[in-house]
Amino acid sequence: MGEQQAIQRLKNNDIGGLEFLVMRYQVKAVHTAYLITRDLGLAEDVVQDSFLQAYRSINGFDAARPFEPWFMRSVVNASVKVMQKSARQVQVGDDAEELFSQLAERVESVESQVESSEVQSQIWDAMQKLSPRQRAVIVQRYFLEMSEKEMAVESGAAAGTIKWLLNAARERLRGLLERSEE
Amino acid sequence: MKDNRMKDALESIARRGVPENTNLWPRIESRLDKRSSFMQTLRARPALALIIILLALSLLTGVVYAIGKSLGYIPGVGIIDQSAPLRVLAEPVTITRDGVTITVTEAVLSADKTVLFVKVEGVPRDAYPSDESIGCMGSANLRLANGTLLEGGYIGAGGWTHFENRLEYEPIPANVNEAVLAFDCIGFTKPGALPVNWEVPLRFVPAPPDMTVAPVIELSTPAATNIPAADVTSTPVLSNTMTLTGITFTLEKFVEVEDGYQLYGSLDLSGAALPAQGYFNTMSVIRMLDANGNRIPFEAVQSEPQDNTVYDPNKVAWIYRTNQKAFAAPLTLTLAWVEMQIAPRIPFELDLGPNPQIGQTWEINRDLTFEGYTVRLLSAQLVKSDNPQWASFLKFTYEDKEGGIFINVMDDVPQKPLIEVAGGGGGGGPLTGIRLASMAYGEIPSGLRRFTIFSGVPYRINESWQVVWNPPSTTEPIPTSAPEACLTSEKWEQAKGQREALPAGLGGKILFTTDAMPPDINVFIANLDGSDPRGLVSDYYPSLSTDSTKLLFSTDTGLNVFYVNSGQTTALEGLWGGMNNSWSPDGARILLDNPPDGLYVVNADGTGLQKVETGSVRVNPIGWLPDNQTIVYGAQIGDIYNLYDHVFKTYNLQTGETKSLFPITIKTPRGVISPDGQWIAFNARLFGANLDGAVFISRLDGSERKLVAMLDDTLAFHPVWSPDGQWLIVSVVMPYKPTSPVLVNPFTCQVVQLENVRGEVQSWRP
Repeated sequence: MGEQQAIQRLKNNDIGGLEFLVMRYQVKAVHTAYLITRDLGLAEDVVQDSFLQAYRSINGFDAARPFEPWFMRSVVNASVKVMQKSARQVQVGDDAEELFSQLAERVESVESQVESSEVQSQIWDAMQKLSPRQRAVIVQRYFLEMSEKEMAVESGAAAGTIKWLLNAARERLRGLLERSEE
Repeated sequence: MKDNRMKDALESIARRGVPENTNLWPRIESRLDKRSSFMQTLRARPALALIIILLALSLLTGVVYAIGKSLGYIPGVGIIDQSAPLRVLAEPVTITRDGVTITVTEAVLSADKTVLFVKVEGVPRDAYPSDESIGCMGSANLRLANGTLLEGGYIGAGGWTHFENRLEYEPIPANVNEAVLAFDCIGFTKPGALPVNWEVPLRFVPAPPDMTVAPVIELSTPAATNIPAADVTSTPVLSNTMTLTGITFTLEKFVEVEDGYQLYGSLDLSGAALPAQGYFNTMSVIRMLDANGNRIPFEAVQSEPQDNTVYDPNKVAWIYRTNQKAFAAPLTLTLAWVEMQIAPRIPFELDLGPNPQIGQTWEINRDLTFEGYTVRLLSAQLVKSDNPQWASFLKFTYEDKEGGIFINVMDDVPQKPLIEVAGGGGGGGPLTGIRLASMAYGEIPSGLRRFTIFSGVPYRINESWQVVWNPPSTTEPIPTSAPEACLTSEKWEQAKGQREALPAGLGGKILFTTDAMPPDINVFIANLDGSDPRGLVSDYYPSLSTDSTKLLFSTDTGLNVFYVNSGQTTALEGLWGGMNNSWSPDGARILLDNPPDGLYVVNADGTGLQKVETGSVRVNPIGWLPDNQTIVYGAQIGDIYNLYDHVFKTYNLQTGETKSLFPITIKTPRGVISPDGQWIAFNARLFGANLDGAVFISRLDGSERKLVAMLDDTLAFHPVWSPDGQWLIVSVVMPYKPTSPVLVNPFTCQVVQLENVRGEVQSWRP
């Protein structure tokens, strides 16, 4: 069974189609939600809710489109939403932009080391200091490998807004990584 | 920042924090709405099933018989129990807040249910999240005057400004005539965007005597026609029920509706002998024939809840409707197969030795066959767990050559803390390939371990269950039978069985996409017979130029041209495309589909981008006429919410002239122009066709329309013309099977299965 068949079955109220989609996308979806929420339980809840939401709204989904971007968009947005609700995020200060610009030029030395567990740990810690929305755009761009254009289309935001959001998140992450190096 | 390195880092982080054996399905399944889900997926739980069946039988002996004598049908409401006086809404109730109007327009209160119809108007578009995130859930409860709270309703329709919801609740006691419909918000809207905490007071009164309730005609159920499987010589006397191999197919009742009949029936699986524990997956009523053997079109009724007064985990209900009332009686409904999802179990032993070490690997290399589906178990490795509640994982690596087969591994000695299932894998990878299944341990396992390995696989029972129905006689004329499609389910089965060679003179190259997912290569070019396949790129919606030298495809950085002969790729800087990009016949220009903006035309080298101003709210590109100047597209008629009405149009790029061709009914128009520009092949809705799975051809003005493909319970789509314009390749999608391309001659109706190609054919070139 392929994805289109699964969606076709789901549109016919056959939850065998949903099971296929769950098996296919749950790991990536939980990873995505986890990177944003930093909480496994929360991430699993978000993904469960997102699959149930997909189940409820599948008739509004154009089966000619790939399912993954549509679904992952729900996961990302639900993750951001749940974080905003739970107020777990660390508030970022207004000095973020200044910090970004100061540290941006030093980022190359960090990029070469992202494979190491130590740097991964720094990334993880740094991610915590981003706002949920900033974390989401980092996850969309780098983990889900969405282009800025796709992010704009999927979120309905102007491409410039996405570019700004992504740059802000990326620069802040770089800055945070640099700081942790010091 | 190097994107792939960042991705690797994030993946590593996520893998550390998320157990490999994540399996959300049991929890998701348990949260599904049972009223709709149990009819389609019935996971067998033998003990529970027995209890429920016994309970159901005890109820059937008295109560259901009495209920059965007083059933009625109300359009939109469904089948109701009339054993108590019906009540309705005293008057519609409207509440408007901040421009949003909620109207409870109708209510029907019967002995078995309460149904409300709620109209919502004036929801501003910007009340919905711009990113279409989930928003408010919109749960709506009914608070009765006696303090009882009835739950289960829902108000909302993502993205729509005006809509109507049907809410169904448990019955309201006969002595309660007032209630309040309470909901905290309108579903899918942004929190805080609209007024919250809605309360709509309702009052109920006896239904007027002239309220139309159609009678439900229940068919007496004789002893089931039970034919022993081995007795192939007997000729059964058909009735409204038949049992074969322990599976009973029954037509239970029918209702006359405005334009036809609705037939209600069931499939009872309680007597089926399965090779393993399983659950119902799907069934196919392949045909409804009249007394003359003519096919009667029908469709499954999706909009109406099933008549499920008694939950039976081994029984699935179905509703079909016809669009005619006059027939050459009797009608015969034939069910050709039933498919189950079963979970065969295979015992497996692995001696880990007295002192296994973290990182140690055991080579296995053994085929495991689950009722015809084989995976190869390659190895097992002991790995350290990052999860503090586990000490280690035994990670099994296996190869799934069939596609979509996932195994689960359980150590026969229960582990503490108890885990349910370890397995899965995949998660965005290709459908076939190397997968992992793990078993978690609280300590380092050692010695001889015994496992049970199981996998969910489809299991089909092919039989021919037949029931007959004698509809009421009518003086209406019997409609003439619609012409049969060239490609039907029966003809497809015949073609698959014949393994016919390609018709003489047919050849060329085909471009097709497989079910593999990017980044794996999934776009292939091969000879028409499937020989000499060559992987090209990774994309869902590639487009091959007419001379087969250039392939347009998308990556996350934009559009690219892959040069087939040289293997080189050139990026078309700054360009993006949708799903239906197409080359002009001379290869000089490209028609780009760029939703929601519309259509664009660009030179082959990416220069000269030009927007095509069609003036339509939503357009879908179809292709080019041979003059290289005229594009064909589908344009939505009316406002943006009028999703199913479209018209095919042409637009001349030189003159700007727009011309309407003919209207079609379909949600997303798809089609392809024949090489001579005289014909168009397209999908359109047709009563009796599954989803939009009817393929037609016609002249460009809509004349000489002919039904080319319409299969039962199977989607036929994406027709592709042969270079000489005499043949089509139609892609056929069956559950659990790779997409299957079929050659169809739309003029002679010759059908040939393309045996050696698995995937969706995108182009056919000389």
